[in-house]
Amino acid sequence: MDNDLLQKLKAWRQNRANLEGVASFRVFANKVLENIAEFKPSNKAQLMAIKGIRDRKFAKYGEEILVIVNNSKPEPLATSLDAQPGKPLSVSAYIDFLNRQLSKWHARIQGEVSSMDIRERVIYFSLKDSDGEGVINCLIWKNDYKLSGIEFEVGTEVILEGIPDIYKPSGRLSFKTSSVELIGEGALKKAYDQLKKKLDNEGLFLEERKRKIPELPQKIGLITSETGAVIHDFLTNLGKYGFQIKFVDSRVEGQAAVRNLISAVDYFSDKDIDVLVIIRGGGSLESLQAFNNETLVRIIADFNKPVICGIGHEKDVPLASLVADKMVSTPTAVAHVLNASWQEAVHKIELGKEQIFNFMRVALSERRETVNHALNIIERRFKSIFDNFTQVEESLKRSFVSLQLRMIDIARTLVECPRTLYTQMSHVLAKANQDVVSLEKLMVTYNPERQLKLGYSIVRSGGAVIRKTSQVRQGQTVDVLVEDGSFESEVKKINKK
Amino acid sequence: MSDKKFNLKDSLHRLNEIVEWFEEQKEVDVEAGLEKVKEGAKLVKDCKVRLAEIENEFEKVKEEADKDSE
Repeated sequence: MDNDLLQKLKAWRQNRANLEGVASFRVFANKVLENIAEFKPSNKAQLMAIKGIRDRKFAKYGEEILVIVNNSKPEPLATSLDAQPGKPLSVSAYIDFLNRQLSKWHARIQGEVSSMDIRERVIYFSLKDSDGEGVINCLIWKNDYKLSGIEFEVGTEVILEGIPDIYKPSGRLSFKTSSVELIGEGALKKAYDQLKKKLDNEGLFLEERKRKIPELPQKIGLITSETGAVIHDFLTNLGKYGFQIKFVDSRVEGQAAVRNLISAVDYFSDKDIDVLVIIRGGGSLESLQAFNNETLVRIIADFNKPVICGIGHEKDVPLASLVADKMVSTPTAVAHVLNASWQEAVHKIELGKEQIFNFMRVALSERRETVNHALNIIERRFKSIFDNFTQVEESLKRSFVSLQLRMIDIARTLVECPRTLYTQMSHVLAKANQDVVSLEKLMVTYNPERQLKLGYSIVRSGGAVIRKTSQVRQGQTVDVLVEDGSFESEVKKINKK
Repeated sequence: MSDKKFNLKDSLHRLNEIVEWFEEQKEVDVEAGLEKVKEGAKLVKDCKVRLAEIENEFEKVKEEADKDSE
């Protein structure tokens, strides 16, 4: 592989990315650049044959790539000045050579901003020693400047990271700055507080902005460092629920991590994930400064899926955590958050099962009771019918018995009757006999004819018995009845008493 | 597992619906209830299968991850 070409391509890519304000992998992935450096395509067809380059990419970058590839061929770039004995170099070639050499001197330098010239795409400034005479010209792409989240002012103390580079048209050496960081906890704390206040005023921390962590998340986007205990803690604490974890390794330490983190978050923006997880172990404000970077924080706040931040911290909660939809402070806690709805599901299933079966059991036993109840009623009804029967039967029986008794009684009466009749008749007859006898006696006693025998006579006139003198008149003829016959007599004189 | 396209979330939801159905009934119709129980039992079984231990998949993506930002 042509390493020089690869470096050129990478430099070109960085510039394009800066111009477009996108992460460099959005222009071309490393793999694609490596393939170009390997196969050195010299025309469209060859270039299109490389994986990762399609019509759209070609239309956008094809010509530029081909120019770079083709230009790198004819002019053998000097890698050492001795390689060209006697033959002078062009200024351009020399500057190219120097720049290639200089690009190896990647460095971090510390100083204070001493002058500034803000242009459309780039900021020219100079950095000088705080207590010395050294000054160096610097430039930073606007994009990188914004990314740093730091406002330059004259006197701001910073650490710059980058490479020296000579600008061909002016021959001026500048420190091409790729990242900036503030110096000291004090400055960091101040920047942190300012940004926190700003974001807070914008309402970025508000609870109502936060999205719910989806239930039963499965596809997890994970951003953290591949090395260290953090990723291990996270993975071992994650329940075995068939999570599908897509992991992007990223730097997480210091300001230098910003670009990495942004590109990692950006990577997931169009991926099929349920939730994005960003984790890091605890650290000082300085080591966590990437997580207080405005650009990163805003990207997280605007991310199209729920984000969980598990970033350890001391006093100041990282702003990335504050804008995340869910924040905890350890990777283990993130794992627990992800496990929660799964564990709950297990519980819900048990509960659901219990409830359903209970309901059914109750329903069935209610049915049984209803049936039993009905049965009881029927039984009682029948029983009462039978009871009535028995009652009737008994009363009937009783009636029969009494009828029988009565009949026996009657029969007995009938049997006894003649005897009684006879007895009574005898009595009656005997009495009658007696009566007759006594009557006979009486009649004998009281017979008038008997009186006549005794000398008494009965005087009658016209059939009536004369008892009073008033019944007769002088001269009247009366019949006088005596014992052996009668005679007529005439009333001569009436003597009244 | 997920190739069966079994949806745990939907199944849990359905299970919950069944529970609610029972809760709403003043008097449970035994026939209908038995149908629900049958369905519920199947859901529970399927859910348990899904919730049985399933190894997580781990995949490192975006290998280069734009790490060489220098």
